[in-house]
Amino acid sequence: MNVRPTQTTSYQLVQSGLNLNFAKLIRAQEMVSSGKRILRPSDDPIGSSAALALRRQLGDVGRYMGSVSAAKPTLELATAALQDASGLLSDAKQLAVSGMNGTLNDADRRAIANQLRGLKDRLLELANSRSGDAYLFGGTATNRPPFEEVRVGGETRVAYFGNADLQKVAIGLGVDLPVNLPGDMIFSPDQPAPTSWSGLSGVRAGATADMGAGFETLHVRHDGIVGAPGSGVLLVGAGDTLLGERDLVVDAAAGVVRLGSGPAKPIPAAGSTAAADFVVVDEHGAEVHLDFSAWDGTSSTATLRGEGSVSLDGVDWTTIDPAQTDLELEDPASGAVLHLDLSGMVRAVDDLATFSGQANIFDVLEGMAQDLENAEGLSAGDVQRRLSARLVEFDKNQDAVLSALGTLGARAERLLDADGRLQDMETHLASLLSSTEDADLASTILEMSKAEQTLQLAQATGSRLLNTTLLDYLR
Amino acid sequence: MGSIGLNTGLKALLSAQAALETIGHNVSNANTAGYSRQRLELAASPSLLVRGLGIGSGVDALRVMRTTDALIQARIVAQTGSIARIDARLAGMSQVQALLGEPGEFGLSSLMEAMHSSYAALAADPEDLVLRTSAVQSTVATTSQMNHLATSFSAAQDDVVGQIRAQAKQVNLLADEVVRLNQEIANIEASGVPANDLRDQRDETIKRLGQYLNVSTSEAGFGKVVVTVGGRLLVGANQSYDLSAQVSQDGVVSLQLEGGTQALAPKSGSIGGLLSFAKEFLPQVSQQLDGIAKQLIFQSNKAHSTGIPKTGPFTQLSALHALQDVDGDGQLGDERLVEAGLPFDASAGVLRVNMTDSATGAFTSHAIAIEPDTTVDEFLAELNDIPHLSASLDSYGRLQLVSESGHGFDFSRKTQVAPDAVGSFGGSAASLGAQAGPYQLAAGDTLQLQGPGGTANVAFSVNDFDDIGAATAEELAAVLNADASVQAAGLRAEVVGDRLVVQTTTSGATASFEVLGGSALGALGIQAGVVSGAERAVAIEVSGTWSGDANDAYTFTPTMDGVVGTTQGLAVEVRDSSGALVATLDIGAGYTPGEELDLPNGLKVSFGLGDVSASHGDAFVVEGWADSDTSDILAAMGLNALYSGTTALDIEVREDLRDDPQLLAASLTGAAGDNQALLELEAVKDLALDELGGVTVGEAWGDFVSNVGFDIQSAENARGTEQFLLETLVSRREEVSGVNVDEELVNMVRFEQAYSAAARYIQAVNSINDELLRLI
Repeated sequence: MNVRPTQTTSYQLVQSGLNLNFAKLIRAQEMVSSGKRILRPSDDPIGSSAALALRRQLGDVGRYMGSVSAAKPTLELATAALQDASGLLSDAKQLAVSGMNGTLNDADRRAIANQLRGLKDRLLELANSRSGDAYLFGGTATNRPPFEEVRVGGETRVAYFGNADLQKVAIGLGVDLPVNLPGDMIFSPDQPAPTSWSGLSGVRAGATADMGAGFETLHVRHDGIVGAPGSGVLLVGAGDTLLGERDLVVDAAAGVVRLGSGPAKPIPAAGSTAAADFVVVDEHGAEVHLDFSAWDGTSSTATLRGEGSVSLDGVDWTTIDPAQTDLELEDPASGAVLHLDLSGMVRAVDDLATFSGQANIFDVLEGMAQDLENAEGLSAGDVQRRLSARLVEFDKNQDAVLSALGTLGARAERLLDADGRLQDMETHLASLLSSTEDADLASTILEMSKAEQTLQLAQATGSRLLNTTLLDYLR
Repeated sequence: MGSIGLNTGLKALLSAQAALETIGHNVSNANTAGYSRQRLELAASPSLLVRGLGIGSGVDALRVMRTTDALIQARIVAQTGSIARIDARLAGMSQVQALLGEPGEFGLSSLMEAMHSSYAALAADPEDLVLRTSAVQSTVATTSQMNHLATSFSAAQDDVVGQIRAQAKQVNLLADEVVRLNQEIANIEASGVPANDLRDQRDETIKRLGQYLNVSTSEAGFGKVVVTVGGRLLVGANQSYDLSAQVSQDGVVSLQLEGGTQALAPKSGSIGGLLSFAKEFLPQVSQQLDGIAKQLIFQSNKAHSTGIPKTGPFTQLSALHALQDVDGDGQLGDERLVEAGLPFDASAGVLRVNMTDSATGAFTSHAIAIEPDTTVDEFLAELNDIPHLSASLDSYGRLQLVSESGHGFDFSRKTQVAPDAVGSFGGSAASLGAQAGPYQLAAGDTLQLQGPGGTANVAFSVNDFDDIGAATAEELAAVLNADASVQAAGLRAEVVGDRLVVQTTTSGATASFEVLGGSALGALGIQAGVVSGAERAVAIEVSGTWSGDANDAYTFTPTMDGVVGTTQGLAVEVRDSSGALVATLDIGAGYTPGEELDLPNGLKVSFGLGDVSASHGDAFVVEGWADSDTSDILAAMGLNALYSGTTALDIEVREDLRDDPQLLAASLTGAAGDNQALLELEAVKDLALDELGGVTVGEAWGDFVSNVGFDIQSAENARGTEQFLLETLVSRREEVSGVNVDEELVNMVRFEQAYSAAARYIQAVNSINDELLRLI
């Protein structure tokens, strides 16, 4: 207790009291007007440290949300493109199946082939879809069309120029989500299986494994026939497709001629136009052209052996040796290597090798179109056999597209989950930040009016204190 | 009686008048700073012996004294100094706090968040040029803010020096004032009169000195005081000593007192506060900021240096940081690379350099081992050994890398797609692999080979190896390739992993050679016999990105001789670098050549058609790179860096990259849409760094900010306490020395009455005298 107060003491007392209360009032005013409890780190160092940490976390969440929203349109575009593709494939399948109908004529088939080509072009456009400037289905090679038509050994193929890399974005700490699907996983099934042959020529896969992609056409050429029919029947020597040994039976009693186990055909009347070039066909469809003009009317049985050659590129030919069961052929254009078992060759007709599970959808569609155009003039049955080989590959491709759609769907779902989770986190963190950093308006205003009141009291008492002096009473 | 009585009355009158004058002086100075209340000391005059009676002769006004308490005065001086110190520090620290701009959207924290968000945005769409530019620009914004802070800190330092200089000048003026007052007080008091008001002035002057420095005073006789600062004389009995501030070359400010040799370190006062701010607080925050900047630079550069920019592999690169001639012998080449004075720490490790053929896109990968004792020259030689690459140092000691035209280089960890470049696994040349090395050879061991071009006879000598008992495949291959008879025979040696492989230089089914014999066969694990080539090499392709935590190498060896996809039971065993079996791949019957098989850690491998042979030691190696520069030498030298500079003051986005955002290395593979390097850059923000005390860059910044806050808050709290203490002291002083006007008024009435009474007394004496005179 001050035992000897002076005026200066009371001035100082009043002044420091006023300062203190005024400072409190200003601080409260600052908090109310900014809405923030922490305006500078020294207001609450612990709180500001926590606020900065929360802001960092909020920044992370914002970043992840940014990635999610950036990934969303890409995934949606990819999904849309694949849904279109899937629809196209359904149409293509219907067309292909209708093309197998044996009652169609060549013109009908050509029309279908054209439609298939149209679908293929449309599909190629879809496979080269872009999001902005970036190609969707090229892996991380996003700056060039991933699928392009190339000429391989005189054939049109579609090759993949992308890569298999995934483009990922971070949607959580240590949580990555791929936003792309490399095109070779979508438009090519990539389920390698042993080579399959359409088998028109009787060629079979050799013992050694093969290597290649898509389809390879094996050109089979008839080179000549060893042996002569009996009974004065002559070989025409042109248009034959027989390979291997087959019996030619001329049955004078029944008036029929028959090659191997093929259908018995009535012998044409001498002098008729058919007699000079009469075609007999065996059970495999191998043909031999006979000249019955000089038939002596007797029955006979002769063994004919057709010889031929095989080639992949149509340039380099290898003579067929029926003892060869593992002939290696290489197509220099495509790099494909095939091993052939020639022991069962029956007929000189172009055969189709399928590197099963490794043919992309474009090549399958192109192949179907070519089959339907039937430039080689195959029988309807042969065309059907080829088409059904292509259809097996087609189905695998369709499955690949559907499973890619499934993958995208699963990703979209993950994205949706992540989005929800991130939004929850953002709300949570924002409310935490607010409770750390923001002023509680109600209590701040209460504080403020308290400070105001104290200040007014201090002013009132101060003015009374300062006004008391003995002078007032000294007259 | 008469004269005594009148004299007594006169003295009473004069004393009352003097008392009133003192009261008037007090009332006038009621508001004068440092004024001490004065009072008139009165004493009864000695009594005179009159008629045997000792009669008092009135009152004597002895002297006017000030009422003061020297102890309180000294404590007030000290307390003022403490508060001035805190105020000076607070002013500086608040300025720093305001500069930080935290929490707020223009603080470094928000800028770094924005930077990372822009990386994430670019990662989602790596081809977008706008996003790429914005990623670079947001990085520039971060570095600019760091530069701004560092510059402001150093400007604050200059400011403080200016303030200290100005205040030292003020101190010198005040010290002179004390000297002058000392002199005057001594002069006045020599005549026996107390120099009250001058003493008050001197006290006040010393108190003002105390605001600048921690001063203490002591009496020096004749009413003089000496003033000392930390035991050193500032004001002596007759003179003052000059205070001055000096700034050393490295910017450290110090105080000198005239006549002293050591720097003065005032503990309180505003100069003490400014010094503590300039020498402790500012350097500390600058250092912390630099630490954060340095780690941001180093860690980001580590992530960035192994990436590939949008422009593809480099054709030339220059290091930002120079190697130093640490031992000062004028030779740079003999320095150990990891201790060659780089601003960042490099360590022993491996650096991978990929050379890409621009035309084909194929690349070869070269690993350069950096040992603790690898010299700069050895490192340069290793780089120059890489085909198509030349390495040199510029005149400053900065590494320059240039590739031949048609080739590009990078340091990425991208997967080698075609791992069997040598053709030692079903390759087309005749190839014979030894067992895994090292080989236990003996001096004089021989090897005889019959190649297409003749017979080769090689004898191994001790000199060819570090340790012939543990000869490495590299050493053996070097010996064989240097041997003229091997060259003439049309053979060459290669190294696959740690195996020696001997091949014909020609390839195809006709290429063949024969192992004739030799004493080295046993150690090499090969047998005599004929080895033939093949028309078709087995095509091996690897895809995927290595996801393992550390670098590793997988060695692939077949289990038997056979044809891929055909031979029943043919398999490939995959072993990691420790020799542990990690996978067995079935490539026999049922395997379709070209089919991809899964390997551990995210890789896939496919085998083309062809023959492989276990008996001829077929093998190849796939390297898995988790970090293509474990030595951090790229980041230390600033090759393919994101940031240049080493501190907060000079951190900047690399100049050419800032001008051309295409140079931002977002990719690890070079593909346009590849964002892996960017994801690694983005992950830098989540790295807990030992250099920062086990926290991330962002957390370190948060700690930094809150530490500044803590410092200010505790200073503010201390200031409150000190202020309260000062107020108490001041009020104590007021109690003793202050002027209470009411009290003075009461005294005034008292002395007024005393005066009246004295006058009345004189009148009484006078009338007595008159009565007497009338009697005469």
